[in-house]
Amino acid sequence: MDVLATTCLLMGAALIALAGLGLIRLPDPLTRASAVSKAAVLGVAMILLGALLDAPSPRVAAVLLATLVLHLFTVPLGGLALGKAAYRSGTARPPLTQVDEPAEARGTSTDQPDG
Amino acid sequence: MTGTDIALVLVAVGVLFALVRIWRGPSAADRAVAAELVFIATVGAIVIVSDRLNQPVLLDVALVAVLGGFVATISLARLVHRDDERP
Repeated sequence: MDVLATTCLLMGAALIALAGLGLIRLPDPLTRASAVSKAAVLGVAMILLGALLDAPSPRVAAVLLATLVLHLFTVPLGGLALGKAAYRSGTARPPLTQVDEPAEARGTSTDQPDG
Repeated sequence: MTGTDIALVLVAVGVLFALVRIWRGPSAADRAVAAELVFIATVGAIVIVSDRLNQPVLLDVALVAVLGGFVATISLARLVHRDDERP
């Protein structure tokens, strides 16, 4: 059980480090927000699972479950808000982004804002 | 050096990468995304420290940190939207 808990903690921490690596390596704010809100969410979920396996008691399980549910709800919402803000601010459109679905939905896909 | 020590070092490496992105990041959106990773890594670090010190009370701090990080991320998103808006 101890080995399993430590493995979960290490995998979660490695996923957080991987999210940081994606933040360094990826080219524009949208892909960076994607890296953070996928890898870091799974990393914290693994860390919470490891902490539960290391000290299994009803109180710890209740607090960890509440933390996990709140985390799984709030972090994707925060990533979505950051992505929408980055898109609207106009700085998040590098040359290799070819699909612009919000502009197509507005019917103004031809004008490319310079930014 | 136990497993929790190595896990804390890995979380610190993630935060270090995020700080490099905050330092270099060309736009405010990059810095806001990196700050979100710092918030998330703080929650993970609190849980690891709680496991290492065998203090379940610290898990309540992690629960509050999740909510504080969410509010901070939404505020940063509004700030990014307003700062980079060009007339």
